[in-house]
Amino acid sequence: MGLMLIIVGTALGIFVGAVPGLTGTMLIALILPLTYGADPLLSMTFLISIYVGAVSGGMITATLLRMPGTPASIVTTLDGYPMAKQGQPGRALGLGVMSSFVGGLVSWTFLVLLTSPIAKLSSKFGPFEYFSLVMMALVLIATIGGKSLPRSLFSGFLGIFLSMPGINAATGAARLTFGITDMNNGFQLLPVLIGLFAVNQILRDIINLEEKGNPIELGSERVLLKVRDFGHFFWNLLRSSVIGTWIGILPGIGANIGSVTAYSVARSVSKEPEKFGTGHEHGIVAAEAANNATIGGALIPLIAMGLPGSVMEAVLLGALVIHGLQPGPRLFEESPSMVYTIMGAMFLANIAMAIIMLCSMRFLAKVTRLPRPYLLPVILCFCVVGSFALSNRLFDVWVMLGFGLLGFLLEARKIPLAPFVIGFVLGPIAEKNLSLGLQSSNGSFAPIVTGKISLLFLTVALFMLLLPLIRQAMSKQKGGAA
Amino acid sequence: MILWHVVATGLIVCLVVWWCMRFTAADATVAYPNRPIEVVVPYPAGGGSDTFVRTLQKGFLEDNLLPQPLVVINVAGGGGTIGSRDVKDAKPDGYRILCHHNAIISAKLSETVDYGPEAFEPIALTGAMTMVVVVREDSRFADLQEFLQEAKQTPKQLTFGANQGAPAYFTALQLEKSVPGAQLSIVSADGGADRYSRILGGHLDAGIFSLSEYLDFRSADGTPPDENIRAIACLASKRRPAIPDVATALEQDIPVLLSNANYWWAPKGTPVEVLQVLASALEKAMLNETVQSELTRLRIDLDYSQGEEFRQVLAETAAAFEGAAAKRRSNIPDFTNWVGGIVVCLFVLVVLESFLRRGSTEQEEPALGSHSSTEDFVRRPMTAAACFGVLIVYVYVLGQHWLPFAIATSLMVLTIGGLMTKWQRQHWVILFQIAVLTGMGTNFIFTEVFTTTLP
Repeated sequence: MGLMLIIVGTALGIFVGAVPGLTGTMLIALILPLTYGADPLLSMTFLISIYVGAVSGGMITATLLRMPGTPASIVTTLDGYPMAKQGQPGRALGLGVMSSFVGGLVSWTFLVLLTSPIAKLSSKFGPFEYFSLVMMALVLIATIGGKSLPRSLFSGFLGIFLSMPGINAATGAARLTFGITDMNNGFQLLPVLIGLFAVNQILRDIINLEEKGNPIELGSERVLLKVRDFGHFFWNLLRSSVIGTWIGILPGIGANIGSVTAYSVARSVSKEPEKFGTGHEHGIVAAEAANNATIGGALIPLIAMGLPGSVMEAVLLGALVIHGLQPGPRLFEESPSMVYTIMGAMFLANIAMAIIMLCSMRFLAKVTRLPRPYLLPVILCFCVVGSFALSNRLFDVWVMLGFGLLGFLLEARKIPLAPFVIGFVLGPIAEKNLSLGLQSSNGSFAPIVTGKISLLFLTVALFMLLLPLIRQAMSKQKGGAA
Repeated sequence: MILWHVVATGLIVCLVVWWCMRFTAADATVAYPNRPIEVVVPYPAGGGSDTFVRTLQKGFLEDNLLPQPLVVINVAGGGGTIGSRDVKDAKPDGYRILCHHNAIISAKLSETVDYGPEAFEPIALTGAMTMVVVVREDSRFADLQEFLQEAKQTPKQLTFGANQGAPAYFTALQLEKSVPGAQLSIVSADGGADRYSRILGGHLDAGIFSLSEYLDFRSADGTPPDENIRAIACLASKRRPAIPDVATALEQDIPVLLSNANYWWAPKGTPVEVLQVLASALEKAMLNETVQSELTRLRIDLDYSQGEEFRQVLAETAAAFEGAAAKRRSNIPDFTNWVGGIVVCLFVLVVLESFLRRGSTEQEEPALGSHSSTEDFVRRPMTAAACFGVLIVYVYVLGQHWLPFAIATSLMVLTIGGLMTKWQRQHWVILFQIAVLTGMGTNFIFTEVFTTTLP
């Protein structure tokens, strides 16, 4: 029974993860009421499987259609889609699945071995520490997805700016709403994301409709990877998984940032950073290993302290509470069976994910080969319904359309979208923590630089920002000498 | 291909039959309620309010309290104001009601919205939660009085977790007022989990928890004192059996009470008979055994009141909050201007850069997904624009309720598909099948499987 639930849950998760407009969060929230009457252990097994599947499934559409099914797979589009277009969709997906699998297992190991010591560490982080950590991640904006620093920065800051309307988390006051009460809730991530990527890409596909043949076909090439590949990617896999796990641990940062950070780090240490973004295998490996690793990471504070790290986790927390269990310091004593169920479910769901993805890959690739006039309107319908179902408001659908147009215009002016989304996600977190810090320090900014941890993050951030410039200067010097 | 036609046609027939049956099922001549009642929860699924409403929903179902089911709709955001406005502006027919707590009072006082409880018809009060003030186990404060005395001696030094504008914020202000001269540094903190981790990390000196949050987060005795929490006051009128050692604030000479009850509201102008039907059903639901045991497990008191008694509670709470309402204190600069400024500067930079690039002979690299060679296909920007236009009309039609969802969606899919195929005849049959399948299919999945509403 449990095993069947894991397979069904993972498959469902992969499905909603892959369809733009449907997300794992939505599925878990909607399935939650159905589990009220069921056995708590089985319900949790099912929900965890959905979670694992949903984070992984996004990569399919990200790679094949350049429509990330979930926020976590935005970075995968950077190298996955070019690689697929170059005629290697099977290899791209295979790499993604393998990396997701390894990432999941590495973070699972952390989850099993180190849950309580690690969880304690995360409470040492105060608002200023979070702020500087987020600043560090924001600086990574400058290093991904674009050739031009000003354009990436512009895109990133535009994202931050557009995340600002609505009720300010720190002061409770509404701002930038222009008197429109619907704006009190600001722009929600899901409609923004669907707009920027799915709607934008559909418009693009319609324009290029008569392009000869469909570029993406999964031929008879090998999908399974050779043992040699594991050796080749060993360090990248390990590094990205560890980064993903650690970022997953920090509440509120989530899978999106895990993959961005791992991707930029992989690029920084790479001998050929210019290849990233053009269909580089290491790019896919880093992004996918990290976003799956965040799951294990995020479960650590959830189980050990009852702190949800993402929206999806918050719903999982709700699920536990409904079943009469409060995650937190007492869960280990009160119901150890639940703790081991969660851990076991995550392990098995990872295996199920890898098998299901590998088996269904050929079929999935076929779906994307359907004639566009049949496929695109259906995806559009899902985009509309998905945006609406988020909080039952038509306003979100208009937001989705608006951002679809914005994304189209930005890309037409060659402004990359990935920094926009990162800014949009991270801006509010940075602002909230800075505000909280200022509230408790009575308006003084000093603790940002006097705190050891936050100073460390800021230094790293500064270094990351300057690194491309230093590199440029150095290569110019070399070029000049030669 | 034949297989596809058979399957598609079969599915279409099934869905159309199901769809038509829905229309014959509704009979408007029967007395209220003759269709499902939508309960708006202004917070996300899985949260405290959501859990509470769904627990009661179970009671409704078990005891068959109403001839029609309750449907829970989560309209989250804006600190509960998005959902409350939704119901305020709904038709006053009793088919869309709201379950919301004290935040409905505090939202108006903190000027987030311009309406309070007076904009609704109160139905009933169900279930109340005791609130406690919590510090870290090794804190130097033995009780709340000591804490507030120190806040008087060293004003603005002690940090207290409470979201600005939320009920806990007004309670924090009341606490300050109870000891003249005391000043706390009130730091926003939403959610018990957030307050818990920040108290443990030493980033907050104290915070307000609900009783159930406190009992859940408190570790067993023997945990190192810097990894545990302790309640220093209970904000109820008398001590609670679950925490017999925690003195009430009243005992400590601090006249502050806070209990978070769930209030049920209907839009202004809802007929009295309808309110009465709902109130008596809610009263019976609170007596259901399953509901009682679930709520006890969630440590929610089984309070129930309606009519005059309920209005009394509302008036008292509103008066207490109003007394504490002070000018918003803020030492946070306005970040919107900073970010807005940076965006404008960068925009200028980008424009300048592309201007310079154009001047130079350097060839621009093609952006991702676009193609430098245009010979092998014709671009069709007009088709894309037309499709986008259809999409806008579609969403507008949905918003105006001019067409049922399934039909509007089918038409949208058909039109966009048609535009893309240039209305070539060989695509018509399949497009038509896909259109009907998508329209009816999504309608089926969302209303029957996920039991949510559609535009």
